[in-house]
Amino acid sequence: MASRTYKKRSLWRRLGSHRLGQFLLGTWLVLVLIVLVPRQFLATGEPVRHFAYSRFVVAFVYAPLALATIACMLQRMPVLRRRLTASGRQTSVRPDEAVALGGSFDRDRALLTLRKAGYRHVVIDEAGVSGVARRFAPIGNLLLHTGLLLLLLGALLTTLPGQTFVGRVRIAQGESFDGSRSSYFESAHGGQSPVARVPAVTLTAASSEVAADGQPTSLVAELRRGGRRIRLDAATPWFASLTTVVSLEDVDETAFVSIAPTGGPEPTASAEVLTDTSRRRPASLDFAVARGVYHLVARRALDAQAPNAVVVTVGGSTRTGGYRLIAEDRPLAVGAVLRAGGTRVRVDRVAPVATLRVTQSPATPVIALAVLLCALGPLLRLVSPRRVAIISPGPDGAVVAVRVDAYRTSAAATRRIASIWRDTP
Amino acid sequence: MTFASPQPLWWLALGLMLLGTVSLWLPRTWWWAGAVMLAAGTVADATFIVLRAVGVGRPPVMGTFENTLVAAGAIALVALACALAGPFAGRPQLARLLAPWAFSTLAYGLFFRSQPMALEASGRSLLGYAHAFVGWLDLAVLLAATSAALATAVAKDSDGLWDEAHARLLGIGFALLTVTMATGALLSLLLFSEWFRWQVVESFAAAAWIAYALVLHARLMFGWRGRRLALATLAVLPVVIAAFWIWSVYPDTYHYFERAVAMR
Repeated sequence: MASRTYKKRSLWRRLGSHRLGQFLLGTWLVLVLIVLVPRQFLATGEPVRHFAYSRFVVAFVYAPLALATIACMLQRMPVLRRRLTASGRQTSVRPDEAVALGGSFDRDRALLTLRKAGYRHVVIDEAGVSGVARRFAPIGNLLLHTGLLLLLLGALLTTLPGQTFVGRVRIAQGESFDGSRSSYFESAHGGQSPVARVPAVTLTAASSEVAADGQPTSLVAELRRGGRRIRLDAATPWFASLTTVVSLEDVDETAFVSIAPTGGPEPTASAEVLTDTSRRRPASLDFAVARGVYHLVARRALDAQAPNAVVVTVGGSTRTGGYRLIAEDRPLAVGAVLRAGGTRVRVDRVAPVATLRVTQSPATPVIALAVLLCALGPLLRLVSPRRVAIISPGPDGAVVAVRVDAYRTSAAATRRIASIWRDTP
Repeated sequence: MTFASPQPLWWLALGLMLLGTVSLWLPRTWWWAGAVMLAAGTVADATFIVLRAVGVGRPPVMGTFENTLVAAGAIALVALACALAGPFAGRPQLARLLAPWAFSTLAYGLFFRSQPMALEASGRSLLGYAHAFVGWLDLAVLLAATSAALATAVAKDSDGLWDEAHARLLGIGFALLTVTMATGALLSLLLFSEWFRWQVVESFAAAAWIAYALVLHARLMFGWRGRRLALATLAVLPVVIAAFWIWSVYPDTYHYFERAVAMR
């Protein structure tokens, strides 16, 4: 029984050993440098991402690393607790690090000096007077490693089938979007993942500014949900819920064009023709009207006098299966009607249209917390490192030595204690 | 004021940084002249950055040329800080090793178009600016750590000062790298709804972060010091350089900014 307990303890110790942790970190590094980076140059995007979150990597790198980190953290919790409540005597200071304070050693004066300098857990013993400042700094390590664990958990959640949904929806100004499956024109999701649930919103405004080469330099859209206004831009998404993010991908303009045979009922066919104004490319649609098939190309008129005008080119199929041009490059203002070739084309309205990307992933809040902890942990250690100061009797009077976490000595902290020492009676 | 080509102020900054870099190697009593010239070069660089930012109406984060301006300024500042504070306060040794990085980074900008480029819509965010500036500061600190490591590896370090400077800068650099990656991940979520896109820059950054974590664990947990630790840090340098600069020559990543057109 004793031997089994010993074996269990030994396995547990090995799982939390620094050697195993280093080995797994090294494996991860080799994997990134030898496998992932070369893949970047051969095939970017999805293949690389798929490999990074593949079952092989999760099973042989992330999961063992997570287990080793958990074991390491749990095994070192008592060490952390001792460090948080430790007195300065637990840190040794080399004699050559000591700086003379001037005057003879006095315990009460040393005690008062350290307390004035902000050192707590002050201990008086035969070696001198010691204290600890910023004792909570070691928590920074705990935060960083907890963040790493959450990152690994986030990676695991990302790999689970049927959990992540990415869909794109295009809505024109004045239209609403309720997150139903049919409203997405494009979606990618693993397995049977549910469609992202988004509260019903209406697009109230959208605009874009475009550079000479067509790259958008500004994208803005405004959604309304009940009485609440939601402003989106390229770098400011809307967090519809903890797990759902709605981002603005693009803003274009849509011309709502209807086409019908002359004298026929109205309208026989109508559709949105996306005039991709930002890229200055025309968009086209094929219409089947009555017995004929018509081809309509629409683009934005580059006319400052009529900014909403749409230039249309209409063609139709002939009885022999050929193509005949009905009207070419005819500018049409909103509401105006073009009659040509037995058809009637009308631009009903032109409206901005926003392309929204909706992403739902249970990993989002987990990784958000992980990122926060990963940034906070090292910052805590950096901005506020733990300090241990010892004032002790030296051969020529009182001396002080200050040790700062991960560093050797701190001249500034030593100078401060020396200054307080001089002012303390 | 036009910004069609590198202006006299930029050439002045480059010249002063070169003179400062060379002068830092002068005998003991003269190295201050090098520090002053390096500081003057940094001021010229900063003035150029401010003028350009005011002229184009945005921070200098677009294109390799602008990023070399900020990176060189950050490296020169850290070099000066190393000569004024820390284990080498009042001594030029660390600044001597770091200053050539500032000059060569600024000179690297010569290979790229200096004409200001339009900032894409996705680039207009405070978080993006913070990501860029913390990143360049981090590069400066990591190069300082690498310089200290180089000295630890090749020079006699009897008083342990190089090792101390190396350890301090490594810790600060790792913390800043973590913050840079955290802000980048948050920005990636806001722009692309993905925390980590595994593009070439992210992969190299992840590799650098893991490598520095290994080096720090080696120091803190296994007691690595001196030459052995220095060689480990030096081994990470190519990965760091790739993480920070590969986007300037490899276009298949979001971080590649040279494609954007010049401002009208």
